[in-house]
Amino acid sequence: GRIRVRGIGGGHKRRYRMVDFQRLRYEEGAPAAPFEEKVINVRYDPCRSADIALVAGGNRKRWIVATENMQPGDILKNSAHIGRMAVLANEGDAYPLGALPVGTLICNLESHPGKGAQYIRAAGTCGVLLRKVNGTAIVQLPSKRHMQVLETCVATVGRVSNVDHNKRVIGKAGRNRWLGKRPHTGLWHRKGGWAGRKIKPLPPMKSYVNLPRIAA
Amino acid sequence: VPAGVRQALWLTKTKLVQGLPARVLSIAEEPSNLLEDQEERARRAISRARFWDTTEVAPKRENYCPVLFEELLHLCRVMTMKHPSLAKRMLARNYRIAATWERESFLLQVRGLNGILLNSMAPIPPVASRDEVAATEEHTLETFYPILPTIDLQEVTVYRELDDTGKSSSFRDGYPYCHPHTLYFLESANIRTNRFRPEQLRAKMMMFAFGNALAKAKMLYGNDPKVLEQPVVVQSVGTDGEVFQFMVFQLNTTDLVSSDGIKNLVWIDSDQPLYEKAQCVPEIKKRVVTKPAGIYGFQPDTFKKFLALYLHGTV
Repeated sequence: GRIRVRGIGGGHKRRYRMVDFQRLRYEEGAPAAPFEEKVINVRYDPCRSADIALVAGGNRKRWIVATENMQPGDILKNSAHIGRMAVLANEGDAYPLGALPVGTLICNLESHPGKGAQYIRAAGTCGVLLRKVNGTAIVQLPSKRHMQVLETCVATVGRVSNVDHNKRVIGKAGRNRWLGKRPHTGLWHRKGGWAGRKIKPLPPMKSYVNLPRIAA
Repeated sequence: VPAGVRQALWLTKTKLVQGLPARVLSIAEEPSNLLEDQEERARRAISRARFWDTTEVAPKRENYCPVLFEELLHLCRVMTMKHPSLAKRMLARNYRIAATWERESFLLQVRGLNGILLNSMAPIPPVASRDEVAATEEHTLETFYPILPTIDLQEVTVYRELDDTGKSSSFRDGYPYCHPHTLYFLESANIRTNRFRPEQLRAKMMMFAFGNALAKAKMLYGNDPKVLEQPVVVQSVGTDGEVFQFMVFQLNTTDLVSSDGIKNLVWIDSDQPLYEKAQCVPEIKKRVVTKPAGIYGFQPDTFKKFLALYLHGTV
């Protein structure tokens, strides 16, 4: 085996908590209707930069990515219903994009309905719902890239927890080693065209919607 | 998550009263119920369990917890000289209980090995007066919306709804010691994660006490759900060798389908340490003995309550 990415290795042992990224997962035996869950505990997760929250509803408990200002004892609402009027969403609730008002801050976005959240999961990040266009919604990701998804994709409202994650000071080389990062080489290279500040236009909008092909 | 006792209260349709009932406390305080030099004997019992029972330096919890229990029970049985009706008691070990009941569209059951059951020939008279029992009607059970009260319970397909003690001899006709008196639970696993935490231990005590009371009530009064004229009382003591939990459970009704009406009552006295620390080896710092070996923080009240629960029903 060859090393593809250098500088990874070592690090403290981490126990993986099975986080459920599909907020709208219904319990077995429960009807496919909007349901509520109660936050029991918000804690540190060694496997990601965000905090995770233990929520319980009905007969089951699960871990989810916590949003900013999530406290034990809060009640979260998960719904798949898109009404004519936009919902006044509280932080931490999960709604489809078609039900949210334009301009809300969202996180834990999925690209296809039912796939599970794969975007906007890092600590302190949030996307902005820009506009809703006949059955699809356009979201701005934290990298300022625009993304078009079906409006039935579910996202949670609010910013992801642990907002001051980028302000932390590592402090010493040892802490980087605990995080599993090995040191860089000390060899001086002259930097080429890849280095330095680049100013370019935004890449085109990424669309995850398969629009029907117009037959020629 | 609703911690153990709150969930058990909903499942058994019970109202909680903190502290033991006044009658039991008065038995504990009455001087004629004390043994001679009771405190000294209790200390010696703890020393026997924690220090003297082994050839190694310190016995493990699996060893000292049951030994301590046997010692304390022996001290209680000494009182048979003063109260001869105490002889009409029998201990049952490895006792298997089964009870089923319906609770608002959930069919629940308690199964399993019990712990140690103390049977007696005469039942314990009801602790709460009729007014207190009638007053529970206004009390509303605590619900935990949006969490269902059956969370964390194991779902099992039952083919036969059992309602008695399986093949044990206690409740079959003809057995003289047919009334469950007290249940004893010993949390004696060595590793802390295998032991029940105090909250969970109290919930386990309550569920098994309820199971025993329900099985006895169904035997006495039939399977129809109704309010009992003579409430059934079962006591329960749980310990992990150092801290004791005392509980008195009174079953007032077997009508458990609805959440209104008369509720059952439970008195819980939680986290009563019998002693703070039992030092097996003297603690030495810089070649000077700081803490000599012995028992620290002995609480005589805990043993008095243990004795009172044992004497309850005959005094």
